[in-house]
Formats: sequence, structure tokens, C-alpha cells
Amino acid sequence: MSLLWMDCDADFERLIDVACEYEVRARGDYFDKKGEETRKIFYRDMRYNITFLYTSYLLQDGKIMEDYARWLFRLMAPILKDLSPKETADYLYVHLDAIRDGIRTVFSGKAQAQLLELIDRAGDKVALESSLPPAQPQASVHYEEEVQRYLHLLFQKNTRQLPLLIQEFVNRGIPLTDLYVEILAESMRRIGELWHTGQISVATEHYCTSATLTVMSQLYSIIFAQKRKHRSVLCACPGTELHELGARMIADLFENDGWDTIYLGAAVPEKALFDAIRTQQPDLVALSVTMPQHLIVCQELTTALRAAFPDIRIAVGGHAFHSTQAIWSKWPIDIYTEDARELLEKANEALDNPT
Amino acid sequence: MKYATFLCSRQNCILKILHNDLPISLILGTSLKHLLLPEDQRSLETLTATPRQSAALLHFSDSSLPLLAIFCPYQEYQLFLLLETTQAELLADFASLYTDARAWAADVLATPFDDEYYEIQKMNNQLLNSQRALAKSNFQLKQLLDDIHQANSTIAWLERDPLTTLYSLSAFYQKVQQRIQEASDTDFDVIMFDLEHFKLVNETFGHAAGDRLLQQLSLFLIGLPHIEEGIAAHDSADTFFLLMPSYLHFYETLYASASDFLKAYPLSLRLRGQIGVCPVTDRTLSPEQLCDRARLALDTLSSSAESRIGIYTEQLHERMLRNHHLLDAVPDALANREFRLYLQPKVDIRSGDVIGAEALIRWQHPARGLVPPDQFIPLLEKEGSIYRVDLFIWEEACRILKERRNRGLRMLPISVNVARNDLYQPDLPDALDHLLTSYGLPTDLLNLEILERSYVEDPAHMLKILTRLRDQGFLIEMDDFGIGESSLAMLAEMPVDCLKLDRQFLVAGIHDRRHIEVIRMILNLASALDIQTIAEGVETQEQADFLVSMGCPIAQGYFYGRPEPAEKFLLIP
Repeated sequence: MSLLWMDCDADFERLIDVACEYEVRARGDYFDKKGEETRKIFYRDMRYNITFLYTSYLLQDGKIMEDYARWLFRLMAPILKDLSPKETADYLYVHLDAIRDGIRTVFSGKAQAQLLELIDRAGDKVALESSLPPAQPQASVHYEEEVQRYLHLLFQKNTRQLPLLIQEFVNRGIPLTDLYVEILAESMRRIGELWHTGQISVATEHYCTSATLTVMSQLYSIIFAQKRKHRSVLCACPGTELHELGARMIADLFENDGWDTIYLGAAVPEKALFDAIRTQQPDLVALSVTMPQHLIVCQELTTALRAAFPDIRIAVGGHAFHSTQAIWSKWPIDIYTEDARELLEKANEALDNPT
Repeated sequence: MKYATFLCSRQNCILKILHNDLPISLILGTSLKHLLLPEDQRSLETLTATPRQSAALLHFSDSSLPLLAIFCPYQEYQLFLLLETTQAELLADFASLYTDARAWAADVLATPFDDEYYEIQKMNNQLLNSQRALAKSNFQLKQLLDDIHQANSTIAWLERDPLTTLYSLSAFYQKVQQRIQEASDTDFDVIMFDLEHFKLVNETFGHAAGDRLLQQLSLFLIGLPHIEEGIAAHDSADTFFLLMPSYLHFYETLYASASDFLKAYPLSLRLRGQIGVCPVTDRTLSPEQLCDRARLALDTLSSSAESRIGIYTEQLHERMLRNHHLLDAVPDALANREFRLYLQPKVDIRSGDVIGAEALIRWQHPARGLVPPDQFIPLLEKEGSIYRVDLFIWEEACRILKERRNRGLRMLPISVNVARNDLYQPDLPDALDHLLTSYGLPTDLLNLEILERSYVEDPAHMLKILTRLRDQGFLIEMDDFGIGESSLAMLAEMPVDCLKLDRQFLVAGIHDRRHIEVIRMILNLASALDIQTIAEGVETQEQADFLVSMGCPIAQGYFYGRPEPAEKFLLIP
């Protein structure tokens, strides 16, 4: 979860304050018992939740809010571990009601109606989530043993053994694409899940991310040594997006396919991105977004890119798009895929068959 | 003085804590308003409502004391300074505090506002990204170096002759140029080496054997002592070029060693190397010119000379220039009829009657006087321009024959020389035919003399062209028989009507029993094959008697008559 604060517009800022007041009022002496620190954390969380409402509203995509509500329920369940699923849902209803009241206070007309609808949809998803049976054990994947061994070393914080394990996988002939997508990405997905369900701390999650980025570095001797295709891709995370593992994996897989990559990494300001495109003139610009709140910047960026560089192909992807109703289809882009391997395939196709 | 400094958004959300040693809890993402007691929340709104610096006393829920809040709008942010004092004198420092805070904020704003986890992670990632960029650059550099090595190998390979792996001639030129320029204090020789009659190896033993010989010869060359001090190249066929420092006298070593090598080489053919040397005395000459001069030195070796090393000298150079001028003058000489037909009689040995003549050529040069044929015929043959001169002489011969007929004299055939190059002229049969037709002469009055060695060098072509000429009615005479390394078997196969025994037989043979037997055998064989025999170079009565005793019917030589201007032929009855 990104802790980077977004400034919403003034009405939404006011909504944060108003909704906080309503919820404090609704919970009676709850905050008195918890003390000032909890009240401040509560305020911070309200802001974060309303950021998603803001994103969902601005992008006119209700699925963003729905998915967020389901995610929020699963996040809160282990925190409120003394409560039953229904009680957890009730706790969140109070929160949603406060926001609902805030919306009625701050907004009017069409905006009010749309925002209320989004809160209703969020409420429905909370209800749905609370009625589901407890999460089933993880389905086994093709490289299950490898994933388990990798996770085991990560949780042991065994930084010394991790590169040796990756080397062993390479020596065994596991293709690099499989190693990236089916072992490393799958492991990181599970780590995100573990953090989400409160089983590991955010510090551990960050350690795992950094360790994974580091072990990927030892594969340079493979990826950079491939025969060059004389094609280039620029990979970046737009706006203030800090989750760069996906973009890095894409860059490495393209490099392994013989593309030259210009990897700008996380939180790339628009000017830096445009400067790099002007100097490097890539064939493709690939933007990766993990958190939905960065979709707003990504949308603006793709429009600006298309206007400034009509001939450059633009690809978008990343976890954030899973929480949308195919929002990318309304954007001026050339390629969207859910999978890094598929992106590579489509990018090659696009350049093989120029229109 | 204890204080806190932090940045907020326009809506007072805490974005970045710059400093805090006050006993109040500042939390990222929290609105500043929520830290205040309710009565001061309105004061905050008043404080931040105007876009300029201002100050107010604010009461925080964490602190029992009010804090002095100094508010500075900064870009799209708001900078707050909280001071744990209310003392009026501090207000005097407000301006400097404010300036310091702005500078500090500007510094801080250079980085985005993240929480500390992300700062560390970002730094780590930036490090990894730099490492990635560096690794990529390293690989690109390595790739570039690999490409350069590859290109160098390709260049090196292209510089090599594929058969021998020695340098190709073009690479040799480049390297010679470079070496001569770089080693300005060293004298060099350009050496050309080739094999005599290499073509015979190919024809007799096949091209594979020829190639094998060249490869072995290359290995022999690069195994010679001091070869590493020079440059060796293979041109084409059996031609090799070397550049060696002069002090080594390498060509002598080469000649001696090559003789041993070739003597021991397992081919049932006598192989002999020959060498042309051009000392590099003039460094302004191009490598091509130096090689040409080495070739020239080699070409000047006469086939009979014992020494097979020719060295380019100034005299040679002058001769070359002289020859050049001579060749230049040929077109004019033809136009001005400077070439003269001379005829030497052929006689019946027993009766002494003239039965024909051989056509010979002289050049009445306007400046140099009468030039003998050995001074210009080999040049013309080498230059490939003999045909025009031969055509001229053949026509002169026809003119004389016609004149004899016009005068009602006995018709005596004239033998004309046909150079090897002439036999490759596509129009030769037609040209001869046309010539005789235009003078109204039968073909058997113009006999064609072909050098024996022409037969040897390209038997297949000779068989074809001579058969054609013979079919046209011409009589074919094999000239200088006995010195051209032809085989007796060839006589049975080739269209030959007459053998002209080289004068060497008479010089060497008439007192030597073995030679006498050879001559007898040749005469018998020719007779058995219905081939006529003419003895050339008869100069004495003794030689004439010898030929009579051997049963040779026809002879030619000073003893019977010297070559005379053609007009004198008209005087023979």
C-alpha cells in the first residue's frame, strides 16, 4: 500500500473532515477509549479510503471502489480479529455510512448521486465478502516447490542463500520468463496477500521486494547477453507510483528477448519521462501502475504522450487495471495485457507488422 | 529553543515532517486541524486564509502550553513553524526564522514526500537501477568489443588467400606500404617467386595436385628462417610475393631452399623455381610498381639461363623503357611499312635446288636502323600485339608469291611463322582464307610454322585449331622441334606435316654417337608417320654431308643461303 498522500480537491478534503466527524460521532466513546493516537490513524485511514472514492469517481469506474471495499474488508478482518465477519462488516458499514453522510453534506446534485452510488456498491461488496467462507489454502502452481523454497528463504531473511537458489533454478534450465513470472512474481503476489491478511509486517514486505529486485540483478549476465533486436522499450511507473517490481520485470523480460530497455523505475515525473523519450526515441513506452489511485496520472500521461509522440507505441499494464472495468480501452494506447509475457508477444507483433 | 517544522498541503494535510522536538505528535496524512483543540481550529483557518506569512498562538491537544505557529505559504505547500514560546522578543527573529525555513523547505521539496520506508526502498531501488544501467552499459561495451574483434577477424580473414592462408595481394600491397613507411631506416627487397611450367603440374596431375603443391610451398615459405621479419603473399597460380629486409639476402636463401624443396617434392616432373627481385631504392614507388618491377626482373630471365634469379637494375629499367618506346612505335611502323619481309631459302639437300623459303621479319626503324627480330618479336608476343605484325608479314609473303606467279616463275611455297597468340585469334582461319583468296593463291603455298612449345602449352586447343587450318589446306610445320619438351607421342596425335629440327641438333650432335642415334630415330619416326623433315641451321659442308648420310631430305641455313630481302626471291628462277 502506498503511503504517499494525494491531495484531492477541496470538496473531497472537506469530505474527509466531515466524514471523520460523523464517524467519531457515530462510534460514541470508541475513540475516547482508544486515545488520541488512534484518532489520528483513523483520520489518516479515512483520507486513504476517500482517495479511492475520489479515483473511482474521477475515472468513472465503480469497480475501483468495489474492489477496494473487498480488499479493505480482508485487510480489516485480521486487525479486528475479535470480531466475526458480520461484526467486521458492521464496523465498516458505520465507516461507509459516515462517508455517505459526509457526501450528503458536502456534495449535491449529480456528484452526490454518483458518489452515493459508489458507496452503495462498496457496501454491497463488504456484505459479499463477509458472507464468503474463510480463504481457501493457496492453489498449487506449476513451480510450487520452487515458490515455497524462495518464500522460505525470504522469510528467514536469508539474503546470502537467495542468489544461490536463483542460480540453482537457472542451472536447472528453468526458462527466465518462467523464473520471473511463475516463481518471482507469484512469490511476491503471495507476499502481498500475506501482508494484506496481517500475517507479515509491512517491513517484511519491503524486505522481500528489495531482496527480489536484488536477486533479479544477478540475471543480468543472461538478459543482457541475448542477441539484440534493435528495438527499444522505455519502462516507467508514472506519477508517484512507487511499486516498480512489475515494471522492472517487464524491462528485464524485454531485455532478455533482445530489446534494449530504458528503465526509469518508480515515480517518474512527466518531464523526466518526456525528456527520456526525446533523447532515447524508444519504439515502445510501457507504463506500469500497481495502485489504482495512480491511474488518474497515468490516464493524463497517455493522452499527453499520444499528443506529443504520435508514432510511439504506448502500452499500459499492472495490477491497478485489474480493479477497473477495462478502463484502458478508453485510453489512447496501443497495447494492454495482463501478463508480461503477453505484452512482449504483442509488442513484437506490433513492431513486426507496422501499420 | 525547541521547535517543529513541517509542510502541509493547501488543505492542511501533513505531508512532510522536517523537524520535531516538541512534545506533540505529528502524523503524516493527518490534518493539522485534528491536532488542535476545537477552539483553535477556527484560528488555523484564519491563519491560513491569507496567502502571506502570519503567526498565531495555537493550543494542541498533546501540549499543555500554547505554541507559536508561524505560517508561510510556499509554492503549492504551506510551511509551519511551531515554537514553544510566547515571548515577544522571539517575534523579532521572525524574519530570519522565516527565511531559514523557506531555504530548508526548498531543499526538502527537491525530493517527493514519502514515508521513511519508501525513502529507504526508493534509495535501494535507485541503487539497483543504477547498477542495472551500469550492467547494461558493460554488456553493450562488451558487445561492441566483440563486434570489433569479429570485424578484425573478418578483416584478417579477408586479407588472407584462402588456398595458402598467406596474405592476398591487395593486403600485401597495404602492408608493404605501411612497413616501408614505418621502417624508414631499413632497406627492403620485394621478391617474386614462381614455378616454371606450373601449368604442366595442373594439366598432368590435376588441379588438386597443383593446389596441394602451392599449399606445401606456402608452408615451406613460412617455415623459412627470418620469414617473420618480412611479409609473404600469394598472388595467383604459382606466384608468390615477399617483402624482406635487404640485409638478409633472403632471395638467395629462398632460391637454395626452394630448389631442395622442389627437388624432393614427390611429383614425377622437374620443378624449378625462379625469382625476381626489386630492391626498394625509391620509396615513393607504390607496392604495385615494386611488384611489377620484381616481375619484370623475373621475366627477363631467359629460359636457358642457369641462374634463375633476376634482379631489377637501372639497366633493366632502361631496357624496359626502350622496349616500351619500341612497342609504342609499332602502329606507325605498320602504317609506314617499316617491317620488311626477308626470305631464307629451303633447299633439297641432294640436288641443291631451292624448294621454298621461310619468311622472316626485319624492322627498318627510322632512328635505330635495322632492328633484329629477337629485339621486338618477344615483346610483341608478350604484349599480345604480334598478330597485327604477323598479318602484315603474311600478306607480304602472299604479295611475293603472287608476283612470282605474275612473272611466270616456279611456285615455291613460303613458310610463315604463326605465333602462339595468333592461334587464339578467333578470326585466324577466316583471315588466312581471305588473304589467300584475295591474292588468288592456293593454301598449300603458304605453310604455317608453329613453335613446338606452343603445342605443349595447350595441346587441346592446338589440336582443334590446327586441324581446322589443315582442313583448309594449309601445311603445318612444327618449328624448333627438339627443344620444346614435346613428347614423341604428340607427333602421332597432332596435325603436323613437317618437322623442323632445331639447329641445336647439328651443333651438339654430329660427332656424338648418342645424338646421332637420336637424330636417326627422329628421322625414321617422321618418315614412318609421313611427316617431312627439315634441318635448320645448316652452316657447313660437314653438316650438309651429315644430313645427306642420315637421309634428311631438306635443309635451311647460312650454308644454303642467308635471309635476304623478299624482292631477291623474285630472282630465283
